[in-house]
Amino acid sequence: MKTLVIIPAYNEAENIVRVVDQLIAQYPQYDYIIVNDGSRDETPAICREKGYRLLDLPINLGLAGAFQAGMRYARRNEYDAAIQFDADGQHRAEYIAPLIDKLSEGYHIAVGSRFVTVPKPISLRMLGSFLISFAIRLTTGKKLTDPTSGMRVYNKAMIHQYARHVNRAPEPDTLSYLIKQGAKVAEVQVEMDERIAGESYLDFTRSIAYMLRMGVSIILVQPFRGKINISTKENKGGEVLA
Amino acid sequence: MIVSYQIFLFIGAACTLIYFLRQISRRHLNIESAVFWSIFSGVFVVLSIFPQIMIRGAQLLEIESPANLLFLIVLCLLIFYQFFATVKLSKLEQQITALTQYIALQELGKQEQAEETVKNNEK
Repeated sequence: MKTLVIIPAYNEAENIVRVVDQLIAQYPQYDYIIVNDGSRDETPAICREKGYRLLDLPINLGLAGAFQAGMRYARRNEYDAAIQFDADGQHRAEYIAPLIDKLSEGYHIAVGSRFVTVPKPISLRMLGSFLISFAIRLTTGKKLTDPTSGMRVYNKAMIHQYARHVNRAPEPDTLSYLIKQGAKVAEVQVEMDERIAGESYLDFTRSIAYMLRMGVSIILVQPFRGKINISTKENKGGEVLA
Repeated sequence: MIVSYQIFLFIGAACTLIYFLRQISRRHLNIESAVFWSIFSGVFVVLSIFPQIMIRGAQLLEIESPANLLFLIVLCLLIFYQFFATVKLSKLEQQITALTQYIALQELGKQEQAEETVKNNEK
């Protein structure tokens, strides 16, 4: 399976070299693409200097736009699978293979979950995760133990979905929408590392805002979005530039 | 209505209209937006000259005060306008996103093509 590792990077100068060098050294079988999301630091310069494959967005679009750019690259180059891989070193490349295996079993999306076999700790930080899980279960009937995990592998049909349509942020609400449209989602137990350098985007207030936005989106907005056929290639409406 | 108060309203409405018209030409507003704001502020001028329109309208609809009718109309109008403005804004955001991605993909495509040519030449 021709696999592309998509690494969205926004101001990740401190982490990018370690993460990408490790990926190249240990897993040369995967192609990768770094999507620089209009970073204001040295990220793009470092990537050029090191000769990394770089998709350099001239302005900051946010994670959704950056990831979509990677998906469009995957679609143009006809990849069979694409994985979202964090530039801050949270995701471990050893779990890419078991996630890809799930696609071979016929799943559309495989999510690297921290809580399949390990119980979810009951903490304030996990409250959002519990609530989003609950919202997804309520609307789709599907149990996702780690809906906010950013480590997700997508098959070709999903690459097409993300590359060609608007409102496909790599977030739990899109996941719930795609499940409703018939996408099969698997979860694979993974471990994640704490980020080593830099600051996480989600502080407490933002976590709450994120949780509310996701909750409202999953329960109220997603049910009103149009039906799509995820297996066919061309869908009407919401198309973006090819 | 007290005449001086009506004059005050007229001056206010007229100034708004003149201000909008000047801004429209100076800021190169789209024709459709320009038409909306011209009519919007023009109507206030007319209403300040003929407040009977509102008074009569309120009587017909059995609304207690003409001001309430005015507020109702203006609120509805502005809420809808605001909604369609966000629709438009969403569309613009999507277009900018698509264009940004397109530029980056084209750049990388060119670069990859150049690398390919170098590789082929080496062979």
